Amino acid sequence: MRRTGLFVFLVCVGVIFGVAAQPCLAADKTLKIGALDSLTGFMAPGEGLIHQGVVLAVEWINEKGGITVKGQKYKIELVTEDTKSSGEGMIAAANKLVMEQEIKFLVGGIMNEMNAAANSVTVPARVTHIRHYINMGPDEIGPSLPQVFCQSSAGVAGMRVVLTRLKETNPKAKTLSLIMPDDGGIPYRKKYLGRVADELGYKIIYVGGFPNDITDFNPVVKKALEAKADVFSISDGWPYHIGSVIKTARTMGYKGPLFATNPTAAPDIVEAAGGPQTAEGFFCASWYIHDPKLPPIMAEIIKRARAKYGKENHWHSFGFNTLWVLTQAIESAQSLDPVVVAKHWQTMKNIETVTGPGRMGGQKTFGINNIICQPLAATQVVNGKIQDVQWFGADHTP
Amino acid sequence: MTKKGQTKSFVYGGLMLLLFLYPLFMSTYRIHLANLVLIYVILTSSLRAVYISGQLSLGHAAFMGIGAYVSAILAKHLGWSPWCTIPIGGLAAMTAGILVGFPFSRLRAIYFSMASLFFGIIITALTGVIPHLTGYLGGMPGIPRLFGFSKVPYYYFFLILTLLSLLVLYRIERSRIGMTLKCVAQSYLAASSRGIDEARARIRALGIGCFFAGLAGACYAHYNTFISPSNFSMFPSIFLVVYLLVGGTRGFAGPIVGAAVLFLIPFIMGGLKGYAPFVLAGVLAVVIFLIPQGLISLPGQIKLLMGRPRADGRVSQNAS
Amino acid sequence: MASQLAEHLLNVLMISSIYVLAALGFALVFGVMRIMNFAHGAIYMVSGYVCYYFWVVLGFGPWAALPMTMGVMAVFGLFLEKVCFRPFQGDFEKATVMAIIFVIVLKTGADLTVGPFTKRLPSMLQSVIALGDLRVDADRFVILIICVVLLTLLTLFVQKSKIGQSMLAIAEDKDAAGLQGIDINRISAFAFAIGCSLAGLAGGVMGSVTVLNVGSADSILIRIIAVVILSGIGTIGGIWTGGLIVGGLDAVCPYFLPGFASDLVGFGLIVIILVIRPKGFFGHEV
Repeated sequence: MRRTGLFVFLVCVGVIFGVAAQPCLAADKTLKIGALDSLTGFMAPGEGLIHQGVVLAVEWINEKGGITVKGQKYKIELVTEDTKSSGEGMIAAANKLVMEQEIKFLVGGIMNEMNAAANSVTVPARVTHIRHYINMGPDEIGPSLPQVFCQSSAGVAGMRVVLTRLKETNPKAKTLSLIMPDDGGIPYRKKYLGRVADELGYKIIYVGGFPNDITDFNPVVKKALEAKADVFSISDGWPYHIGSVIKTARTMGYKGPLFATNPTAAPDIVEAAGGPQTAEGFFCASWYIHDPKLPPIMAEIIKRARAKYGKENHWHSFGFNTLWVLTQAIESAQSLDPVVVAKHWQTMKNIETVTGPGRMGGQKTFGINNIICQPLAATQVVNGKIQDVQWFGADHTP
Repeated sequence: MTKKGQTKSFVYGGLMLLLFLYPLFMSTYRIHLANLVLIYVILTSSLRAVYISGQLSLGHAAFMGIGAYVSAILAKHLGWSPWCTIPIGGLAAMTAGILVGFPFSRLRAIYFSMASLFFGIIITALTGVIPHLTGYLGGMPGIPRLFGFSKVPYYYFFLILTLLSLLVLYRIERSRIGMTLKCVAQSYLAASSRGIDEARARIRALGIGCFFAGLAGACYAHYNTFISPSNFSMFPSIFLVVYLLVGGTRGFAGPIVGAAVLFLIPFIMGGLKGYAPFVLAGVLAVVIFLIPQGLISLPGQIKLLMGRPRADGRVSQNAS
Repeated sequence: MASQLAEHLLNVLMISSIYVLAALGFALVFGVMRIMNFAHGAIYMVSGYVCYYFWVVLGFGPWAALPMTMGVMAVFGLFLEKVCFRPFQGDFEKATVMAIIFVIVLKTGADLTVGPFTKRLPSMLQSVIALGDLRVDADRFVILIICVVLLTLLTLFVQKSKIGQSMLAIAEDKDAAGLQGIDINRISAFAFAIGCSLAGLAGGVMGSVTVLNVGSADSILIRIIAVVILSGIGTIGGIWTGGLIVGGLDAVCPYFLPGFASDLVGFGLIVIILVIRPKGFFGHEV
């Protein structure tokens, strides 16, 4: 009898403590953020790595305790859907995240087609979405899309950085030959890159496109070189495109300056080109993750990437940046309402990025202040080694 | 009405009731899936309309694309109402089908199939001729919607459209025209001996099938608000064929069942993420190895397994 | 001018020979089993990765890796024939669905394992041949030579050997061949094995010219089918005609026409030829 009584007493104590403990256990809430990345298809090699960067950012933030909005801490729960490198896949994935999971904040999107497709789902649902990259089309970014942001202004920023650098290394160069992926973004690149080139006193005399599934670069490079411009350049494309183009151009005997306008992975390009000797002299508007001048967050990213994935890659920092700035915007706005966050985001004066202090830009270029401008460098292959030879601030996208 | 007939009416009636009440107790996402299924049911059934004349078209999605692009361009760039442009899309696809039919209907079955493979590519390439209108590979966003942002009106519209289309296709198949087509498929020698013009019948089949494909395509365009050539290329066409063949070619309900079941598998298996296609492959394998007549023969097969054959050859549930 | 022409010509020959290699396997299977093996493109794509495995991961180098890839794919071909296609011989529809099943399996498998990693096969010979004004990748030259040699060997094999002649017999008239005592199953297995090993070579070799990616399965499949249609069903030696046309169009059009136009012209031409002469240039009536 006594033992039963003791038992009952202990159970009651346990229940009371258990109930009392509930509020402490429920202290952590989660905020779901959706990731729309291509894990399959032709974009997968690049977007997969970018996605890994997004995952690293989520882990880093959660280890710090998550984000705090109105005194409540939130851990981030990343919900990923494969966009399958196509507009169709993007729509299906976006539908799943927005309709089924009712997620309010999204990261992801690179290509013009996929970005425009995503808007058809995210705009009616009033979801705030930050892209990794854009092709500067009006259906991708602009005043009619107040809740769409991008962590890069793509060719606008890149062209400015690259041409400014070119003025110092090849002051006599005046004409450019430009090739780019034929993914629907050619007219927009022509427009915006042309503007920057005009502004800095250059002339684009040839624009050529190559299909996404290109296997043989010879015809494309040949035609571009026949224009006999002072400079041969490529705008967008993944490292294996750019590397192959470099290799082809050098094999064909082109000895002039070669650059890419996108913030791409120089080490991967060098590998795809067949080695540092072939890629000697090539430069892009990007950053080199092992540059000692970068803020400590970069070392942190490298460390985490090595621990989780075995090898660090430029694209890890790229994806990390996207998610990080989104969480900064949410915390700065102190709200979980996507419309409120978007409105606040456009007004932010300072935003931290993986390459240093950045700011919001794009009002003059695109009509809306939704571009995250981060410091960029001219990343060049000098004497067989990759270096950030010149750093530019974040004022590249007015 | 016989007892069997009564049961059938009850079943169909119940089905109709369920279909119409569906949006009331289903989430937005499920309604969205239902909308897609309805479109694919029309598409696959339209493929069947071509198939019964003996031609297996491996490029049917291209006609869906014609309907979609025509309707989208007229609505987006000329500002016409989607209510007008959708039927126009259907008619455009039908015209294309007939035009294509003239040279291709002479070809024997296998050659026709092979030639039809290239339709998709040619349509993709054609969108490149007017990229400022179609967006070419980048796709065409911003297509005007048919209704507002809610999925529910679309559901009812597609449901009614599907029922009507199926009704029309069914009647055609049962009618004189349908009989002619099936005749041509079976034996062109016998058909021509009866004075049936084989080529004319085939072109007719193409026209009918392509009209509904174009209609479905246009509906899809105004629902999705985004189309791109990859929707209408080789593999979507081949998937339509798979839905038809695996659903069953012996009955009118084949494409309906095939489209509804097979299309949904990757979505139902969404939890498996990247592994979902394996489930689809598995289901397909099970069907072609074990249920060769297609999914619609499943009820029949089950009946056979459960019942005992009677002396007069019929199979019943009870021992007699 | 002459050097430009020569360069074009070399390109045409090289691309054509790769297409012919890939298409031959398809044509053999089609001729003997009357089945369109839609999975052939996916097999080609997988071979590239298999070759990468032998060449780079295991470090055997190109000259060993290519034959090994061919061997592995041949075994795979035997498996395919026995388990997947033999039950559906002659049933075009079911075989098509079966092939699609395989495409789904192979492509999804590739996507999940190697898809996210772009791989490039290293150059076989890291050099550039200079002939006068002409500068070409030694690689492409070597590929051309390999392809031509293998094709010649294969054509001789098919025309002279007993197995080869059996294949031709079955392709011409299956029932008559069966009546003559030819073991159709055995010959079909051979056809599949040879076909897949050729796709293996094509995939491996192409991998060193370009990058390996999962999407190559689709683009090669449509070209293979175009080659086979143009050449006609049932011919082996005639595949070169189709191959040269498709390869030629693919090599030359991108220079002169923007992307969509070269597709339009290329495939439009093929469709027109098909309408005028469905049998192809050398085919038998089906």
